[in-house]
Amino acid sequence: MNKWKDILTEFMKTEATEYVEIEVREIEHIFALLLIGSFTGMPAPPAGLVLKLLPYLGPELLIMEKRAVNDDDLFGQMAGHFDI
Amino acid sequence: MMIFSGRWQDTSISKKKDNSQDFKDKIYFIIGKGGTGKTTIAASLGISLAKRGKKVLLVSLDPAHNLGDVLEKKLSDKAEKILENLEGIEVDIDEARDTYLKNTMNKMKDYYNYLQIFNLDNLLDIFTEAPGIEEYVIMELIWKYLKMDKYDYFIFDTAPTGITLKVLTLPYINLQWIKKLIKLRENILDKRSSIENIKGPSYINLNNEKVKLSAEKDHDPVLKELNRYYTRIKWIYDIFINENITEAIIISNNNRLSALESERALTKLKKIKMSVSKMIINKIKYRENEKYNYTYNNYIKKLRDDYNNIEWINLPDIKVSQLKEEHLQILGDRLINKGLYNKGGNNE
Repeated sequence: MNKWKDILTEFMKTEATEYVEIEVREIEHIFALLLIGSFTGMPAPPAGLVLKLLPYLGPELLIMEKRAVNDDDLFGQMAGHFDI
Repeated sequence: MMIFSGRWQDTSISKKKDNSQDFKDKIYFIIGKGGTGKTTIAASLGISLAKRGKKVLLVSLDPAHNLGDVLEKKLSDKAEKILENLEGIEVDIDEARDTYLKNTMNKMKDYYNYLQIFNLDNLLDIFTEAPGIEEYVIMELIWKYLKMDKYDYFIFDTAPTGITLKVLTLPYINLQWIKKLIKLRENILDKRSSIENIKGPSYINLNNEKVKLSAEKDHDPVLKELNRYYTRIKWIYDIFINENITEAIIISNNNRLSALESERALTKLKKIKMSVSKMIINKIKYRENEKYNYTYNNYIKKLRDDYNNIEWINLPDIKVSQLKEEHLQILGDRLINKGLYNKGGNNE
């Protein structure tokens, strides 16, 4: 019985946070993109500012990298999330 | 774009107070085209103020230093005594840049040590040539000097106008970036923490080491660094735009090219709200045997009409290659006592 309860709780938790998770992920990407956007030709922040932040950005860059490796079909994924 | 609504309008940044208020000193930036006489005027102001008992730090930010030559004193990147109350520095920008980058790299080593292939020493060379670093280093140096308590006056004999204007606009540009990044970061942390409240903390795998993704504003190193940097830049920015503290003095010669460069400087400084207190037209040639009789170049004339709220000072061409200390003092005194040379006016 407890096992079922756990599964249900887990399910509810996932349901509750699903959209926020997508949102936070997207903002994380925007944040990283703003900082290292010069790779894609976007206007970059002043070099000194990036240098100041770079030491603390390990996890953020990893998130970005994973995203780049794992995602083949961004639009399909988005459509899936929003039941389109 | 509906998913990005909400906390973007966060106003916590603008509430932070203006922290330039406790800064009691005065700062002069001497700006102008090369060869117009910036260094001589910086030195004369310095001497004149020092003789009045003010503690003055004269800083030459120009990579082609000649402050030491003007003062006939060997200067270095440490403050050297020139006279009673007057100290001078000739900044070594290359060295300052290397120190700045090395410090950053060392900080980076602590965090990126899991990346063995990430050879930081090699990267140093790349960053050295990165655009914008030089201006950054100059700004850091200005910050460092302004933090020195023992002076009443700071006089910066600046680098060529282009670089100087970039340095002076840097705090403004940085502030815009930092504000945006802080908002974004706070937004990320808010969302992460609401997820954490429901599902518990999330982790990311950094080279087989589980690292918790920070969700609290007080513990996020990125937000902390942003805030720390914001405070520093805001301090400089507030000081730069406070007309009771910072004054730009523009030196021009009576010709078209330096008039055009001065105009660019005036426009840019206005944009970043830095006040220009004096416009000095240096090395004016008077007509023979007629004291105070001269003609402004048309470009200078137009500039004078456009910016008549600034104090305009005319200085004659004295045809002397090396001014002695007492002459520099007389010049400085005149500049401080509101331009005695102005008597003649624009005699056209």
